[in-house]
Amino acid sequence: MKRWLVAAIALLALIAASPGGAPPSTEATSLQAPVRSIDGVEMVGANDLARLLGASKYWRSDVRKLLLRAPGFRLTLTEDIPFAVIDARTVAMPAAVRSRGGELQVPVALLGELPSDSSRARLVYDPLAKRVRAAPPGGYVSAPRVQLQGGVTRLIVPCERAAAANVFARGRARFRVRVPGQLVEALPDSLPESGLVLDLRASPSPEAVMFECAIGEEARSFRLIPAPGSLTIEFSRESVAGWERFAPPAPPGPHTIRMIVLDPGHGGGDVGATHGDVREKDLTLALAKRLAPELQKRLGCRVVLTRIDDRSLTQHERAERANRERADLVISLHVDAYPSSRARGVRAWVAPATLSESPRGSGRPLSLLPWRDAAAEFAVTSRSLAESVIGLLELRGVGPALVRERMPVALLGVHAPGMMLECGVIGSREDRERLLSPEGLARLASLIADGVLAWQRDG
Amino acid sequence: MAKRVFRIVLFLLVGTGLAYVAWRLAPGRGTNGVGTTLADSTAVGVRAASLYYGNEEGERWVVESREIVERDGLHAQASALLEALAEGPRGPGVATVPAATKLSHAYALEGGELVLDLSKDFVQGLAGGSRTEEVAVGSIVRTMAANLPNVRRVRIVCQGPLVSAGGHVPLDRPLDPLDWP
Repeated sequence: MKRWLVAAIALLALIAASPGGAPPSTEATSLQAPVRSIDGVEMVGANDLARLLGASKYWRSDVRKLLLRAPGFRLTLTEDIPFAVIDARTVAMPAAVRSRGGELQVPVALLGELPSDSSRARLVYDPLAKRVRAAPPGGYVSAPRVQLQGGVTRLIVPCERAAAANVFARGRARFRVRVPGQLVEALPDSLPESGLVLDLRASPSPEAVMFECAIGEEARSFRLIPAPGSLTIEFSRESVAGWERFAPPAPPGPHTIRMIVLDPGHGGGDVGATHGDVREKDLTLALAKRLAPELQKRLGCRVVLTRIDDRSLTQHERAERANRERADLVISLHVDAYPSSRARGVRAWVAPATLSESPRGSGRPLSLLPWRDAAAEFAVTSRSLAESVIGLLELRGVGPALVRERMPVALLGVHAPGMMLECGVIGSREDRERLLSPEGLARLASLIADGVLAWQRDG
Repeated sequence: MAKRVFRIVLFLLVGTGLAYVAWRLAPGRGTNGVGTTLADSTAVGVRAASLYYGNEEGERWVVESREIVERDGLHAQASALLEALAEGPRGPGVATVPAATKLSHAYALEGGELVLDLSKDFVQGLAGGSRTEEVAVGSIVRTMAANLPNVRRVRIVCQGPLVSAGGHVPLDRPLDPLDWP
């Protein structure tokens, strides 16, 4: 009996001492694991590592070795040894593998050495949150941390692709920043009362997270600071030189729309962008013919096309048509092109709001605008329209989407709110297939019409 | 006869020797200062230039620092920069300026305006699409402003006034590099 008791205690002690036997930390979730600092070295538990990698564990207590068999590779760790073996490759680590609480601890520096491709989980270290995360292929985005310093409010967004982040909408009421990647954390429950960020929401889309903030009226300027591992968005109560200004508020909805002019880009001898037999002028005309009834149905307005067949028009003729019809909106449809096949997504070009800093009818002093820039008078309205349409396309997976404040040729001489909409990149297989298939074209037209409707109702 | 041949050979040997001595002592030989000046005047100078190309997505700039041949005169300098843009990046980045584009003329106007008169190849070779056009125009504007002194605005013409190169980016006005961040 005594012998059995000793054997049972010994067995329990062995299980407890085994690095593979320790339960996962309570802090760990399925997509992330905590990082501990041991003697100044950031380390992650081997059990967490195995879980995040989807690996099987094999522990050899005689030589104190742990073998992790992950999909596609094998990782061997040895207690008190600062080297790991990945398949047949030996990798030096900044510190030895340590045993703490019955679990091996591995320096996070090893993560950069692990093989990764699109089929495997990619592990990245988030130093701000002190966590290792299994990052999605497009990268991860964590919840922003808010910091106050003097008159500056900082939103620090841990993310992997900070350099690709951009300001999507720069009005105070709906200040939107697009950060590529997938959101892996819940937003903070509350925000500091004395800060300039009054509200914070996140709209995840398949490729990016759109953070939408309500910014206090006292905010004067902002800037984005991309850095490795995080994006910092700073808001200041001062007009700081070199920082960007907020856009003036657009008039609230509902907007009266009686007439929309759709302008299918290019035509006739001007084929536009091409890819093999696919020509931009055909795609824009097909989309315009799909979009016209969708707009009529949703908004109950008249829709006119600048061309209904394959003919060449000058910009003067297009603008003249839109002005003669007294258009309430002008949407010029185009398909983009770029030498790299990695370019894709939709873009809206609108007149820059810097040309018209106050909404129409706000009683600003008389100023002369060259007729060429007539569309600039509606820059603020046009921008809010573009943000509505483009934002909806992004959320429905037709991204990446971007609003470009640059006067396009398609709006020269047009006296109405409007935008040039690049509905995809012809060299991108995904975009091209969407534009060539009847279903894809119908869905695109429906989404654009939904975006216009949302803007018409809410502004 | 043999004496005559001997004299001729001796004469040639002495002549060759004298010529060799004269060549060794001539200015420009050796390590004296005069020689260095001569070598410098025939050498080719290079300087580092910042070249702006689009990235793979056409959303940002990829700035490449490249040593290009130092040339005198505005036309030659602008031409060298344009050639480098048309040649394309040696590292990451995408070339958008058509390869056959040549600079016909370059003028510097008062107030820091640089006028670039490009060959028709610029318009004819452009691949189409606002993204290509925007990056092509922007890379010229940013590269010129970054490497040529006192350039505040760049106007692009093409054997005459140009409304647009591909129907998307207006070129009827000079372009400010600050508008192409």
